[in-house]
Amino acid sequence: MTKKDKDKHLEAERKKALNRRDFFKAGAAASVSAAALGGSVAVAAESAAEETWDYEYDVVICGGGCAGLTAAIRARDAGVSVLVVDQNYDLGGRMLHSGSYLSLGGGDAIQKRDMAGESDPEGFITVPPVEDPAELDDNVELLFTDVTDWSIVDPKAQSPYRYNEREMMRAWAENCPPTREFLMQNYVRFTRVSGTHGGGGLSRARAPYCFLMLGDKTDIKAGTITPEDAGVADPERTSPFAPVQMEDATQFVGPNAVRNGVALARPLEFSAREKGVKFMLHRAFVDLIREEQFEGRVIGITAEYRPRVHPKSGERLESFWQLGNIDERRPKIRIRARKAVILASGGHAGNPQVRSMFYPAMREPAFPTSGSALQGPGGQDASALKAALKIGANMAGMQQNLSYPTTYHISTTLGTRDAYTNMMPGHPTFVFRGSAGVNVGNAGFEEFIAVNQVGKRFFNEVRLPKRPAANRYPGDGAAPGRGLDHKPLDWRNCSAEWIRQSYNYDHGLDAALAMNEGSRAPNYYSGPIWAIFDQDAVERTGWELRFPYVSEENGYFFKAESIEDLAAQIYARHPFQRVPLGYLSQTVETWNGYVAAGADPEFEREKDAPMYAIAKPPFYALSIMVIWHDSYGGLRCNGRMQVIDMEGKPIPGLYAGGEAVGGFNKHGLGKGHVQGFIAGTHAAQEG
Amino acid sequence: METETQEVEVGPRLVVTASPETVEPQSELILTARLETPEPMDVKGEVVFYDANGEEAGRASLSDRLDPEPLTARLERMAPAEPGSQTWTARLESDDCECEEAEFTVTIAPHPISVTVWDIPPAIEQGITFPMTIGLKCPCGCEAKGWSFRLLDGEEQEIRAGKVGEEPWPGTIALFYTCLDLDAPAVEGHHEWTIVALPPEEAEIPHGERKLKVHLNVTRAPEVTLRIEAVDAVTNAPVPKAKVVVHPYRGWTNEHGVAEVRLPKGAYTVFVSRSPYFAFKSSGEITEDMTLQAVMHEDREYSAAEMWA
Repeated sequence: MTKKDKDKHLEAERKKALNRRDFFKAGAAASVSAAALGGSVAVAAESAAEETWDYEYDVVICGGGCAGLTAAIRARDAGVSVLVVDQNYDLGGRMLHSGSYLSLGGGDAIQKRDMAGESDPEGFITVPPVEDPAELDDNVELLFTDVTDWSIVDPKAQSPYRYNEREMMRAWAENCPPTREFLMQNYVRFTRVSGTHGGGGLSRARAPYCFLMLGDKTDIKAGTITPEDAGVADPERTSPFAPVQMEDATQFVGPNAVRNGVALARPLEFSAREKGVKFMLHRAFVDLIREEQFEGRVIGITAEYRPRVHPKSGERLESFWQLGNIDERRPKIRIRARKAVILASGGHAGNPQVRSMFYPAMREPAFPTSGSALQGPGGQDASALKAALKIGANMAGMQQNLSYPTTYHISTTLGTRDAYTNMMPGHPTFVFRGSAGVNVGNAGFEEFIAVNQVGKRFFNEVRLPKRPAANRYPGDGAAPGRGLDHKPLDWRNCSAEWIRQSYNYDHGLDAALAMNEGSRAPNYYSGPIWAIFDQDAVERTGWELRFPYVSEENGYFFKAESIEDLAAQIYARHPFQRVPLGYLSQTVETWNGYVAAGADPEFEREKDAPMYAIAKPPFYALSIMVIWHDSYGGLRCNGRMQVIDMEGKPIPGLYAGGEAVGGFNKHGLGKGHVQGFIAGTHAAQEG
Repeated sequence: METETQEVEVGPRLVVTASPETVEPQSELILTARLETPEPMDVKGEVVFYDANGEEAGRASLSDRLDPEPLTARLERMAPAEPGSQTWTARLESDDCECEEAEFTVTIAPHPISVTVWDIPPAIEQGITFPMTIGLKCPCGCEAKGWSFRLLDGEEQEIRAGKVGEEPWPGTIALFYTCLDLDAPAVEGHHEWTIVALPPEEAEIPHGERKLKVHLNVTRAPEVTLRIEAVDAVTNAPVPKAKVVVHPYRGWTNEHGVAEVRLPKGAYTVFVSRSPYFAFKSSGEITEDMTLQAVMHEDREYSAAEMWA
């Protein structure tokens, strides 16, 4: 394709995008049309010479999630050309799927607004502040202290702040207030502050949600969204706009406000497209191109075309908005980055081989990362880590995956592999879930027995979903001083006496991952786990065992006339059931004896909850999922978010942000946005 | 007398074993093919397994040689449903080596019988008549209509012999059942009885006998009433439809959050549970009519927003 052809194609694409959604018809179109071609240069690919490029941009960003989109806008604001490549069909990454609980602080604008008891500029917020002014009275020094506090130990006896990278944390703390303002300037609206997210410190309240107001029209500039787009019009539908149904935000804003990652990701995407950031979707970043393998600048990337295709229609999925999209379908291309590459393609939670570095049992591919249907097979695939290691990058926080309580956990949503979302039919990727699952809550675990891949119980069921609290404001019971009484850097926070008192971890998840009679060399996979129950349980609970909650087609829900039939069905039809549940009949018979005796000599369940026989046909099985959620081990970066090599030096032209980066034990968006803000700032300033 | 010895050239050959030796119908069957060669050879290829009908049953690649182990190919698959011994074959597909097709035996056990027993009350008062429903089914698809069973007590004395009926349990296709009324044991306490499902003599396909233990809690006549009032810890509102378990007695709270359980005097643990609350638990001696307030604390789930920011 010649440059002329490419330009023509881009223009056609721009027109198509403008026609697709009303949003861009008014206001944005003029500025975008001017920006769409500005700065970007598509280079002819006919030449086979080594240093020819298929595309050239000033800044190339791998990944269009919270760090990538923030970096893209920030760099574009500085006047440079920006290309974002993303393996998925749409932008937003996990941010789009998130709860939008965005913990920053250090005296940021929202903390100050709530301290003053003010509303937002548009007057949407009609409820008073949730937190007292003293709980919001924050500064950068206190934030930095909090996120590097050596003394904090959580209820799992882990230290979430002690091992954080200090230079990076200092930069993060200093950039929290400007990042908050930056997000607000790009159409993000924040609710009242309410608490702090895990890893965001114990001293002050620092986290609001992002919101939009329900209205007649979805209009990012006006801050409104239709009930249909928000997914609140029908409890069993989500929309292409919002993969997760938005939640009521009345408590934090006022009537008709809704919140979640849609109110963060879509405004940022809108702004990025409006400002002329270019996007190449269905395009998996594969490798970095450096002048020499371990020397010189990073000058570009290679990226492969991996389209996400609807399994039934065979059609390629298309992003909700298309303005700025480059429809490039060649199998592999080289993209030059004149100033810098920013790695923002996520962590390794979806890559069993990489995550097994941290916990060998999690090499089990039966257990996915959260939001796997939305993200697709390339989501959280460790692409940034793999590519950067090849050119000499260093790593950080390798132990920190094990020091956050929700890095991996057992979901209370049963009957679906994609067990950490409430996506419903209506979103284009629901087909990859097949079922929404049944959220039985913690209490629901008393209704069944949980068995491993050979049909044996392995733990007290009611303790399986329990998770120790994250150590964050106002304390969650994991620090002796709660709320404003908390004292940072105090030895009493980690005295042996206090740790004994606060320790609260059940290890049920580890029992679920244990080897069993069906675990075979060389990987000794633990295999899937199952909730087994009978018709009486359905009548006790009212669980709705119907589509879209369960599907009899996807292998995560089974119903049978006998226990033996149930075992046979699971063995025949579940994709990760490698061995028969040979002990299931005996397990149920034994369990029914325990129920009659009122005692469970194996796991002492009678101490926690009542027990029920599994006797009345039909019988049911729902999959129980272990979900690997976050990535905390990753690339080592300095305070400018430059990737550091094994000699301790920055790799010229290479930046990173979000879950690709290690050494910051903070769950959630606050890490990614600020790191993207810093990376975008400095990448644009490269010579 | 001298015996003439003759050297016979032995070429590569496949030796296949099936594990377990007798496999349950439709359970896991592991076929291991071993390529025996006169000298160590590096052979790449696949072993193709064929069932008794000559249909391909699966294929597996030869593993890399790990001296001194022989080359092997291992296939895990579901065993067939038909009982008896069958002759299967395996063939090597390789550019490096030729050998004859190997025969081996797969032996399938008789069909099992699924026994399901339900409707037994969790607490059975001494001397009363109580219900029990027994269902029989062949997991391999044979029709269990009219199949026989025996009911034995803890001393293995027959209490009842019977047959399941002609109709499947409502909502099922092949679970044939019968409803029994039985006399409760006279002795208070836990009783373990056994259902023995008998192999049907008239069935063309052999079936194995199956035993299932059932458990009875035989109690004295109730003497006192325990009244439970379930309330929300924060709002003090009644909690209806909560499950009440005072082992072995069970009940539900009504729309006023109240349940009444009649029971003999004694020591009990009371559980009251209902989503989304933590299970309420209280233990103690009940010697007279009493009221227990179950204060229910919400087991608040983390929302997606809280977990997923």
